Amino acid sequence: MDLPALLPDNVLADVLRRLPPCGLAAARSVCTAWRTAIDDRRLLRVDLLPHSLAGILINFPCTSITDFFSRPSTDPSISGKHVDYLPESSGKRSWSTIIGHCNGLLLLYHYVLNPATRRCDPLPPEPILMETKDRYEQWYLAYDPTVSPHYQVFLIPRFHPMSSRGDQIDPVRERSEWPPSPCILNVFSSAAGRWEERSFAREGEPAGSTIADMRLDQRCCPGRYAVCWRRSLYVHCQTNFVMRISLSNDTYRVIESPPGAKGDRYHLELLLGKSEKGVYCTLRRGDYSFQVWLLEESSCRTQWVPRHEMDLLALFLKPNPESTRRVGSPKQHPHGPWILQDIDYYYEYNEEDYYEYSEEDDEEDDMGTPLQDEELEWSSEASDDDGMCDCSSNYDNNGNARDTYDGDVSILGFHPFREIVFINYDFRRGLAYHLNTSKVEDLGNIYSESLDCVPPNGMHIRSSFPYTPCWV
Amino acid sequence: MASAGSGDEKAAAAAMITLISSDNEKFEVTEATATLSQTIRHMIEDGCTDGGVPLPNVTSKILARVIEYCKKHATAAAGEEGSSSSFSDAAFLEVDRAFLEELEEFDDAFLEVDRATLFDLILAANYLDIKGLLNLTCQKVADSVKGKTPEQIREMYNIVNDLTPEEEAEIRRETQWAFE
Repeated sequence: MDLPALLPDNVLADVLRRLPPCGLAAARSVCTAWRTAIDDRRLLRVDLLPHSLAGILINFPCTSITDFFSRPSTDPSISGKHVDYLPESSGKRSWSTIIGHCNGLLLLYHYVLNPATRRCDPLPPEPILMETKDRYEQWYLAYDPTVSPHYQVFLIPRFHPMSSRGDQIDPVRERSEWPPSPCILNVFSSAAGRWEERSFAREGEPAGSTIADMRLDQRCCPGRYAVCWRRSLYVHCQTNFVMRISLSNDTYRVIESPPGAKGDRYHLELLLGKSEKGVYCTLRRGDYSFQVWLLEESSCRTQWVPRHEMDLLALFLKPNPESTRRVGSPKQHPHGPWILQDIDYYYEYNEEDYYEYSEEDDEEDDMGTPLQDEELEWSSEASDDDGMCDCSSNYDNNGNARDTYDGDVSILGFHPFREIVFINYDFRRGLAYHLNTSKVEDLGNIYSESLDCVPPNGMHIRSSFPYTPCWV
Repeated sequence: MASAGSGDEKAAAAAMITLISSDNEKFEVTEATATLSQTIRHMIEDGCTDGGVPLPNVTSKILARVIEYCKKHATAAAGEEGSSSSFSDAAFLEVDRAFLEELEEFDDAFLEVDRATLFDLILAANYLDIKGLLNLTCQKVADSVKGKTPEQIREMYNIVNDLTPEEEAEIRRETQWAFE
């Protein structure tokens, strides 16, 4: 007997409104009565979910405030100006660096923010660890508003290099396996409102690495990221393996790095991200070449499969006047479709101007191009001469052309919903590389004025996060 | 009720109301218990409870459960009101927490029923307009559906899928993110 059919419409709706968005989506496809109950009352608000990319949050070197590189928006809520609504009390400047992002929530040390809703949750002090001397903890946020309104903050242990101060090293501990099973992690749960020590049992093979191995991998730029995907948190660990932590049953699995990413002493630059089909990574193979890998997961095996080879040298050498002209210095091309807010600079040097600037920015789009929703779509369909250049054709005289290029290239992150990789071209332009077509879109200037005082050897983007606003 | 003075209130609290189930069984309850139901509260206010309140939509089996729920929650509500004036803040919070915990345990145990009974309780709570009970039972059904696929939900509640394959495909397309 169909028991729910006995319920009056308003009661059925009262049951269904308690489901998270994922549950509502499933309930819509149960039968017409359920779909009607949900649709008539607009219980499922897909428009509030973090399903669009607003821009990229970037931590430039030597800045204390995270910058925001985005399409100009007429909506004042979507911006990098979090400082405006953080509580006054504890010295905004010192903690306005964003250290993590997950589905619209931003993680700062001791705060979780939602810039769209202006929600600001202070986190209680994290537990004090016994072994703090030779390790530290990196913070990661796990949040999926389609499943639950609650979030978690994971503290993942990292190991410092072998001390040069001659501290006593315990050889037994150095040779012990990492990560162990069970692996004890400190986790803040917003549902419980407190930090908890949780024990995660390993499923599958061990990483085969020791604490001593971890110490050999001290790369800090770009950051080691985490991806929240299908109720698991994928965390990029030292020596380039990925720890897949289940968010539902307190287990974890070690996912080996793609072939070649792990050396005895030298580990390739790996960057983890989420895109159209799930979990991806880029692996730097040279100054201008990167491999893109996609993580294929089935019940029986999990493996990285090659998705694309990005050769960016080809892009810059291609004898295409359009592309070489477009990818130029900021002086030549001050603006593109995207702009860098340069927040840190304005706060640091020009606070009054900054406020003028931001108000103006909130009121209208001062880039001279009226902004409409349709224009926010990716212009991958746009013609070649509209900011796109072809990177797929091979260059023949690379020896000669090589001399003309002296820039540095790094990865900013993945587009969360399209197979696009965002690229920092020499701190001058932000580019979007389309994996399907090998075409490159010039997004705009990403030179922050605050970089003027950074020495050349310090020019590394510390971390960057593609930001998807969530209005729940 | 609105016209009752403070002197009458005590008398009202002790007054008994007779509820009559669909199968003609009579239940004597205090007014405090009965007025957890907004429907009955309105009947009392309108003065039409003499000779008992007939509840043609509720069987004796379900009415007994509903009364069990109302008794517990009416006692808890009375206890809270009493404690607020006679305890210091800290002691009040302590008592308050103990009350809430006990009530939660009661609610959990109360919901240990088969599906048909659960739906009967929902219908009764809706008809009698008992907010707490409706909330509790609706949440229980929602929890049973949470995390399930459409097929699992249909199987659980014997629901016939009357969506056309095209409609189903469209729903999936609209909310692809939920089916990944």
